[in-house]
Amino acid sequence: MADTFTAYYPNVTFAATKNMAAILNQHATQVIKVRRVGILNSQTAAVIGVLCSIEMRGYFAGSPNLTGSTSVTPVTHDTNNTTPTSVIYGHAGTIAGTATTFRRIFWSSDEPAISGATMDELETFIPLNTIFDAGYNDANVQPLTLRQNQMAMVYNVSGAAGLLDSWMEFTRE
Amino acid sequence: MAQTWTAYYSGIAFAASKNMAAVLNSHATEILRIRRVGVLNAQTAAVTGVVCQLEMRGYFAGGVSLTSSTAVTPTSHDTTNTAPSSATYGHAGTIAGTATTFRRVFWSSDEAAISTGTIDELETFVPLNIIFDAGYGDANVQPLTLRQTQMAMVFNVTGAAGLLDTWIEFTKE
Repeated sequence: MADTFTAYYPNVTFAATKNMAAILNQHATQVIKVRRVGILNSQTAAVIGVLCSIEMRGYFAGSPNLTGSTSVTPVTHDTNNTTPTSVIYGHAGTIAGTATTFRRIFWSSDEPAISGATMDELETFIPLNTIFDAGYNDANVQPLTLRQNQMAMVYNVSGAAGLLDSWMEFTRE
Repeated sequence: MAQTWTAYYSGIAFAASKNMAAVLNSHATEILRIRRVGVLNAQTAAVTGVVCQLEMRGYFAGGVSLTSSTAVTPTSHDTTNTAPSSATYGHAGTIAGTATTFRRVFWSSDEAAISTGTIDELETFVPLNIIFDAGYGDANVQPLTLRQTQMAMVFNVTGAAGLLDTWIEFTKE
């Protein structure tokens, strides 16, 4: 199996046209394969939620770049792994490049309540909120493959209330 | 296939900053791989539930230990298996080490009722409440790998009402 990591982006504030979670590979030969991406409702305090529009994006052309982002540190699945070099993991910041959309979903940014069963409570279940898993369990299908200067991103198109957690599971090959 | 066990942590009372379920590997060469982790609502009596915040954590550094926990005995999936020789399975206790987060979920600690379908009832469905399964069914992706003095844990950050069941499925390799 390949060296595997999870990048976790906790409590990222929703804002329109914002990078909520991204991985940018800048290495010439190292390949990053994004295996699964999930999001979770992370709003606890009462908030006037709105309907957000989230996209799972790839940036493969147009000189993809991410500057001024707030960095996160990915966690290894095995401490014997070698950390990828020349990779940026972050949210917010300035995005460059041409976006392509793999998934687009609506999201309630309201806080979950203990005895509700509306959209915001269902957003707390991990299996229901895995938004990308191409190739998982099927070796015939490619995951999202990031070569040099290519980027994967959870992007919020519209909606500016509440908080989001995102996780990206990836391998270095 | 690798020798496999399930550690089950039954009816654990929620409390803030509490270890709800943990596996700590103390062996120098034996490797424990955490394949899947699930949680389930275990509250039957009427209770005033709260929103709890659970984290699926790994402890890989910082002098990892778990002392004075309440032990559980994992069940072998094949009685011919040889039990891991130096591992701790328990809830509660005193935690040491640096925590890293793989997943974070909200949890209603209210009791499940027979004819409703809100979040506390949805928490009784096993497939919906698998909170970690990296690499399950996909040999390209690493599960959470515990080498010597490394620990996996379901940790309750906040919320102090109700009961939780947790199961951790792991292999020894």
